[in-house]
Amino acid sequence: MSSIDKKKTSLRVLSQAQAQAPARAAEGSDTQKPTYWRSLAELEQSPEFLELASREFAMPLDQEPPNSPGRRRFMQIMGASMSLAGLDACRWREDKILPLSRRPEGMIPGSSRPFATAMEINGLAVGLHAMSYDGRPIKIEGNPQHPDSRGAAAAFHQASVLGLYDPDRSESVVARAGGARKESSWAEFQKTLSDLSTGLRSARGSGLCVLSERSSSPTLLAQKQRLLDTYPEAKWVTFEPTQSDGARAGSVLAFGKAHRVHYAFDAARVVLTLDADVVAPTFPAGLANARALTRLRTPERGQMSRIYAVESDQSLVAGLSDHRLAVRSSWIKAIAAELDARISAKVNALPELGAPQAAPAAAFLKDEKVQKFVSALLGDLLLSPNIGRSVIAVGPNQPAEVHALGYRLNQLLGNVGRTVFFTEDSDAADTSDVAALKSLVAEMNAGKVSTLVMLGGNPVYDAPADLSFSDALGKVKTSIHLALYEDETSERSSIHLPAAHYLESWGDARSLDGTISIVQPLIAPLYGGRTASELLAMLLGVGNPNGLELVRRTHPSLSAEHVWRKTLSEGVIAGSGVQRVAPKLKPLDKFPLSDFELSSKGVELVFATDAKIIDGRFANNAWLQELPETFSKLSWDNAVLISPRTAQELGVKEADSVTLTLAGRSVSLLALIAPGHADGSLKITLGHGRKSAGHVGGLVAESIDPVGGNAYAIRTSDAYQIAQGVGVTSNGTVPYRVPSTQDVYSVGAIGLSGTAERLPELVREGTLEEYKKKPDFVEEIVEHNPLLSLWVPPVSYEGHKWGMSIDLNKCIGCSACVTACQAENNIPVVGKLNVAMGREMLWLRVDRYYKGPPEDAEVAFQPIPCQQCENAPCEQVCPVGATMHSHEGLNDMIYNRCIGTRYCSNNCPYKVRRFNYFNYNLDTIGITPYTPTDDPKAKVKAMIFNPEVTVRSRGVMEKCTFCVQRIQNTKIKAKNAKRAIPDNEIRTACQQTCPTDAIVFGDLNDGRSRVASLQKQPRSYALLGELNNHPRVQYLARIKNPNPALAPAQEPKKEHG
Amino acid sequence: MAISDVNPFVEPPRGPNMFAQITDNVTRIAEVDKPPRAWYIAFGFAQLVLLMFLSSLGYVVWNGIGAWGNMMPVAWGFPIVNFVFWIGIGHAGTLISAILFLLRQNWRTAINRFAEAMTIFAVVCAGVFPGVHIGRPWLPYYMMPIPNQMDMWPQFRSPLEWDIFAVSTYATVSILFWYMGMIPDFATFRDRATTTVRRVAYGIVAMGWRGSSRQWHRYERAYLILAALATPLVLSVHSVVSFDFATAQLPGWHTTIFPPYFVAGAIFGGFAMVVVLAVPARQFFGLKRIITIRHLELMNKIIIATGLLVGYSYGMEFFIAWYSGGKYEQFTFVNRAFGPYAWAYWTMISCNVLIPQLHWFKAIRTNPWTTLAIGLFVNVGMWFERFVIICTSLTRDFLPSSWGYFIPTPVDYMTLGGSFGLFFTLFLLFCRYLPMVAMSEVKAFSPAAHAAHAHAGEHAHVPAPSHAEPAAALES
Amino acid sequence: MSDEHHSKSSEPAEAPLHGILAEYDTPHEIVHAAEKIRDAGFTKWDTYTPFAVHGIDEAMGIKMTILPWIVLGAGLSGLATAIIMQWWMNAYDYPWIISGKPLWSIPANVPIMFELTVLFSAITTLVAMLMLNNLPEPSHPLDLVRRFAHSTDDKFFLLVQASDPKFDESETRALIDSTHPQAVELVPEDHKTSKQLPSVLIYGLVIVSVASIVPFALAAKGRYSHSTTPRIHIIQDMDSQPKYKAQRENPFFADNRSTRPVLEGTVAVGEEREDDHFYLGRQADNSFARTFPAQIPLNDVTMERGKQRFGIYCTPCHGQAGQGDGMVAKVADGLQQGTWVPPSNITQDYLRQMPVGELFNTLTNGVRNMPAYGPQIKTEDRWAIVMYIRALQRSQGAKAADLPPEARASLH
Repeated sequence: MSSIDKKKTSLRVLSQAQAQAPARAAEGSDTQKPTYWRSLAELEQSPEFLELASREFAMPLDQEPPNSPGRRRFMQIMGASMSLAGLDACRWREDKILPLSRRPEGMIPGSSRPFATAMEINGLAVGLHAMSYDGRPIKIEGNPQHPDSRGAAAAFHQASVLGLYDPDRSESVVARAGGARKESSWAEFQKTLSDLSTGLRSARGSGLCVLSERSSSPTLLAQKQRLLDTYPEAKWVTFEPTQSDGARAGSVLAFGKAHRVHYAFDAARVVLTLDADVVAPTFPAGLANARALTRLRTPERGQMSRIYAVESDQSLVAGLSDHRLAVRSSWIKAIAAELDARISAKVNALPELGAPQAAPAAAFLKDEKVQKFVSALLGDLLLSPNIGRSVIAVGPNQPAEVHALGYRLNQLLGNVGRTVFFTEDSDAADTSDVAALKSLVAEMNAGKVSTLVMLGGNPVYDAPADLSFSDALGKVKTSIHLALYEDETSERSSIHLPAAHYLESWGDARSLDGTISIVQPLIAPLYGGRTASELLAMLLGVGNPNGLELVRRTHPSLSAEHVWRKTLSEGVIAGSGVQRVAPKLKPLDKFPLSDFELSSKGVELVFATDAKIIDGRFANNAWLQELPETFSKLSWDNAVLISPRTAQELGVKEADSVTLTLAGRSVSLLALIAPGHADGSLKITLGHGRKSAGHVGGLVAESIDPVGGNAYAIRTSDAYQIAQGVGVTSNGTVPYRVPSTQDVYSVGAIGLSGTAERLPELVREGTLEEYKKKPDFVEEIVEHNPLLSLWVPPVSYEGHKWGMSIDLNKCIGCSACVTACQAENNIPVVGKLNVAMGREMLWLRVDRYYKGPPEDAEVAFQPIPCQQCENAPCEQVCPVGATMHSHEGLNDMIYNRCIGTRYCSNNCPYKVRRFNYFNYNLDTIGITPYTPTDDPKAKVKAMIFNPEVTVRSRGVMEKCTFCVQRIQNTKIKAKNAKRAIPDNEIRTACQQTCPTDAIVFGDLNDGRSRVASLQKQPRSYALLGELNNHPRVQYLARIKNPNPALAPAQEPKKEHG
Repeated sequence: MAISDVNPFVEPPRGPNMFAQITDNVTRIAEVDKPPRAWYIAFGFAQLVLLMFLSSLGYVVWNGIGAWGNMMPVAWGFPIVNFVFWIGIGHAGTLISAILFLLRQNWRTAINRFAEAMTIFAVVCAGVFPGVHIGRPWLPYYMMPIPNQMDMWPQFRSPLEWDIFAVSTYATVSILFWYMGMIPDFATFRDRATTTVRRVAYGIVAMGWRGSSRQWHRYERAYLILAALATPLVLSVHSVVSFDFATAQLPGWHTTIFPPYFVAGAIFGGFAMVVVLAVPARQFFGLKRIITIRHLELMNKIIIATGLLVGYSYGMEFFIAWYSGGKYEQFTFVNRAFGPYAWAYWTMISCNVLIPQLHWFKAIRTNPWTTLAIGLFVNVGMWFERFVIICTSLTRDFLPSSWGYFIPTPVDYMTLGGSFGLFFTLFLLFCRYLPMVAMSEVKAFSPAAHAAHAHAGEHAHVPAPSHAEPAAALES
Repeated sequence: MSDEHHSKSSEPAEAPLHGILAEYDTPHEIVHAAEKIRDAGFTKWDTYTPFAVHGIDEAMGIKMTILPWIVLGAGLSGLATAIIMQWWMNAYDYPWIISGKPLWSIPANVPIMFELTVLFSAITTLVAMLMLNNLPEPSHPLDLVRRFAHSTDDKFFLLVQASDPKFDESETRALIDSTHPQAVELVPEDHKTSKQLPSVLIYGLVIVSVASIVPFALAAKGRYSHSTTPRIHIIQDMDSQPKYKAQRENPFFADNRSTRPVLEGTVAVGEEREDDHFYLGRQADNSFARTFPAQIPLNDVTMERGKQRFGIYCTPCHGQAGQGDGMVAKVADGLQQGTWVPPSNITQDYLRQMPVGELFNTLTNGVRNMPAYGPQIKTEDRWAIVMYIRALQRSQGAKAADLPPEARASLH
């Protein structure tokens, strides 16, 4: 009844509203009306809105808690259909169509278009394309224009869009006084702030401190400057828990000035990584490195780079490396020094680099294996063609000296300027984040800080344990925390402000090489959140800041409308990269190396950035939590990784629960035995065990257990990266099903031998020499009878014939493809228990195999999508024909025909089929299985679904479709334009996001297509092809380029074989 | 008579001649106005178990298949194991009534009736599972060729589709066979009925049978034809069930030996179940005179024979795996015997191959209680055989990355145990209301009937070698 | 009942005779008796035994039944059904590509052929047997004979019917006596018990058959009747999707729209729109362009396109010739609404003079109550329309002199 005319009015006002929206924005920032408006009522300030609003603390309606009576009533008024749905749910649900009364130019309903934006983590931005469907971002891709991305994106980029639609995000300004939580509004906060700032102005800002996440945003930094000008006494502290100071300090040590180092791996013939996982997305410019490093791993070019990895844990680069040496992280500096000593002895080094220093007296260096490795490595590095064509990369966990040594070694080998470059790091702080935070905490404890503004971050959770930041925070009068979630820190600060997700924000940020990308919003803030720079603007007295204006003001060079539009469209400011410099290296004696008393007593503990949830910021992201970790294949948990021998020494068994003790602090978590892990070294990833992350990542208040163990609990400021003398006590095996997707239980002797026996056939591998001698050596690995068929196939696939080629030599196992697939195909999250029971739904999995002895096991990765067999075993066993072949050779699933006999899965040799054992989307579909829900949180959650793909219900089988929706869309486009489909126009989600271009999809009938030529290559083979399934997916064999000096002795091999 | 108070069935049958005594011995079980307390207790217990069965199924249907332990790669867990197990049980009955009939094994007349009943009830139990184990239990009719405007037909290449037809055909034919056999006995019940209800009820199912010789002539012809039809059918059913596995690509399933292997196993398990039911039945319902020790012994002999066949198949599987040289095949069988599920495998071996060998001793195979015990062991073993074939093979197939370990949930156990509730509920009702022994056939092979032939010249059929027993039993 | 039947049988004379019943104790007695009766050439007689007495068939001279042939026929039809069904469903009516196998290949279809053959035969066997024995037979005169109840227990009976041509009460009686029966009894015709089924049974059948029609009736009604309420749909597996297709309803947003407006200031990839001439119809000095942009080829392809688009978007108001006399305009004029601003005649002079850029701008952003067509019509198409408008303007006020000579010739 009233709902109807309400709708009418809203429809009426809409057109004017849109007409006026720009005008209003132009009116300037002092108006109280929001520039981003989501509710017409909000925009119009219509009477009934004002009436309601006054009741609800003058808050925009959509910002009040969804379960409050006001919201309920409002929902009833607005959504007649919902109550209807509630009443007779057993009737067919009616769908309403609500078009915009005036469609913006270029927006076509039902078709998606990309917007360029960028995501910044730890001060480094990666340019992205966000696909906008109906004005909603639904999928993230890499921005091909961006130097780091080049079209690729990491798992956490892919998953960030889920974070946007996270119903756990904080929905309103919250004020806390004496433990009492009171929902407030931006308007109120405005008042508070103005009172505050008058006081601060008079005090010239003394007592004001801004604690910021690391950011490279020019806008933010400009505002920082303006703030410090306005409040001379104010302090600005940057803290990033995963920021390691080694590189900066090392550069200061080596050059006396902070520089950033860049590697050109695609020009390097020899690569040495010292504890540096250079291809990991969390590594600076990791995506770019991955692409560059794998470029020289194509044997077809006849030449391959040779990669040496020295590290304590298995890393992504280890999968690529030809030789790997597992050493404690804390011992690696000895190796660096050894190299330096022996190289500077060999190379007639430039005199200003100082005298060659003596080889360190570290015991383990005498080890025959290490010696062999080092001398072989030296042989390669000093080979004349390799001079100036090698890279020595040092990892973030290494101390300053090792970085300095790294710079020096590159200098000695003549790499600087050819494969290694430096740029000035103008924004670099002069102390480490930890030091800065330490001094801040000291001041807080001393009561010198009256106002603390925290721009993002979660220090209460992730600050070093010994600082006890939480207590210090209690001593601050006014603490303001801007964050996406009401997290641990918000709970202890006096004011919490909802932050805007980057997909809701205007902003800018730099990549490692300084290239500036513009951050564009894809959707108005769902919960009225604001960005850090908007908050700063408020702090500087702007009433209602406009993010767009703030950014534009920072870039006067782009003021011209054309230039600006071009920049937005491209996403990056062309040529904004920082100038490369050739810094002058200080003589060695100017930075004395610390002693090498490397005791092999006790074990070290390495704190590592988590590849999925980084420092814990993504802890509430279900896609990332469910994503199996690259090596342990662990999801929904973290574990301390121990080498087999050390585990034996410590009396720890696989999947034990262990307690780590460090300086009186301790944490208990799962222990996993990691083949190839360095003896005496333990590794634990940060970011887990959060208590106030949300309904996914742990919410103790609602008795939702934290996920995994919290490494910060034992991480102190003095043992920040690598801790020595950690105590390990095993609590024995606990009744716990490890939520891992591979080797879910001890495989046992039979299993291991069986795996070892078939591994060479599954992941076929050879050396460059073998390949050159016999390019089609893969054919002979499996011998089988000629593959004859009883039948003449009913179809000869004219037209399109889709196929895929996966290069095992390029796959680094980063699993970005897995999350991309999940985002593209509405793959449900099943949760910890179901993963533990082996019911994960991921269509694409990256298999991880270890080969060789456990102490130094080599790792190999193999992505397994549906192989789209032409003679698909799954099809003939389905009693209802719910899976059958298309005329383009796709093995299609017909969901609504499937009754779930699961026979197809039994008969699939690759086990790529996934079954909905429960209705995993229940919370978005309904309370009971079959009634639509009207919970607004569910409505937010449901926005994540890709409208192009069916959301599967319970009891249905599903699997990889080669992204058939993308195929069809492109086919339709091509048909309308009356043109052929060029190669590489259709790209599957996994292919699109792959940083190393390992996955290639295309039409096998098109002779010029890449996939066709790749599948014709001699090292291309079909997995389990001997079953005569004719899979459409083929793999390119791994080709290694080992150093002959390190070739394994032949005899023992024979014995084993 | 203290005993006869507890159990009215023990006292010797009354009647002027042997025919009357046979009639009395069988009919009084159904005619006693109030069955002994023991029956009620047993029935009540069966009802409880049945309730557990239904509730567990309801739980699964409401929440999803995930309530069971099924996972990837073990997409078929307990439900299909139970299905194959029950189908196997459901073989002995038709086998006894059809094949032994064609083989002129007259001793079958003592046991065929409730063996057939057991068959049908077992098939009913089996029939529950395929429908419920599917992901969307409200759609099993998609598997039937029902005309629909979307032209969605079943996919006839699928062994599951063959199952649908095989099992439903088998169920239908078994019921027809069972019912046809009971028509004359229903007539007997009708004519002895003392209450209108009984007379009308039995009258309807007896269809006005009056035992005219012209009717008997066509009746016997029809019975012979049905037997001839049922014989290949009973062999085909479990062969078709075995196709579910034999036609699949999975190592451990992909074996041509499966059809005979499964049929042998089915007969093996089926006879074991007959014995398990026969021993208490003859003890309790006073049928010792009709189901004699010799009958048990004959069945035990069949159990030894089929047990050896099954053992041979187990061995042959290993041989073929080794001989084929298939890497994956070989691994599967090594893994079966020594992998994580070795315990299941060795349970199967000891129950199915070792323990039945005790029947070589006459003392054991002629003792009802040892017979019963061994029968139980065999049934356990046969369940584990299906578990080993299905679950163990699935846990470790081609790619080690997709290996898993199957752990059943409590619901799994409830469903398995509950299915016995359904079985025994039906069986107890059968004992109470239907003729447990084919009276007309027993009479036909009794010596009294035989006296006729001396005068009647040549024998139409049945050179009854066994004509001694019923007499001996009845006189005792 | 049994008592009443006892009393009845005590005075047999009342009812006409049905036949003579003789009772025997043992199988071989009745076999002998049967042989006697057979030799006497009787036809309407039968023996009743608790089990199939061996040798009685010969003794009575019963001919072999045709049952096997009926069953054979049924089996063959089952086989045919299976073959046709599988071929039609999987290979003809809805051919599927399954595992790269041919649409129709016998081996996979054998099991079901076998099963259906057996199924059809088995059902036929039972049904045919009953029909040949004309069962069910609710009542029979013998039911009134008390002793006959033993025929299914331990006694053997022989009945010679009175309707037999050779029947003669005394002679037949004598003949039967000569077979030394235990007892002989005259069986009267049965008038008491009605010949049709008991009413309970009939009602039961009627109710069941009616009930079985109901669902079909409902289905039929559902098919041929209309309703405004959405249909009942209890299990909404995947039919009610949580995802938001284009322009759907999402109550999370106050305007209930799942479609969100594009935020002002944002630019999608590849939508720089740098070329003002093309996108805005303006020149560098921001004045309206007098020429067509380079992107628009001035050829008849564009002209055709323009004509077509004009027909779709413009004619409703402006009319085929652009005279402002479109259908909408006519109707609106008819309504005599003061508010109505009539669409302008696009061939008027000031519009002829108007720069193309301005025309394009008008198309894009609208004027007076003409809506903006920017969002709806692609840029190229808008230019094509402008081009067509120019052509219209040219053609409307055209003079004969403007025509090419040959065309001019065609005028009179």
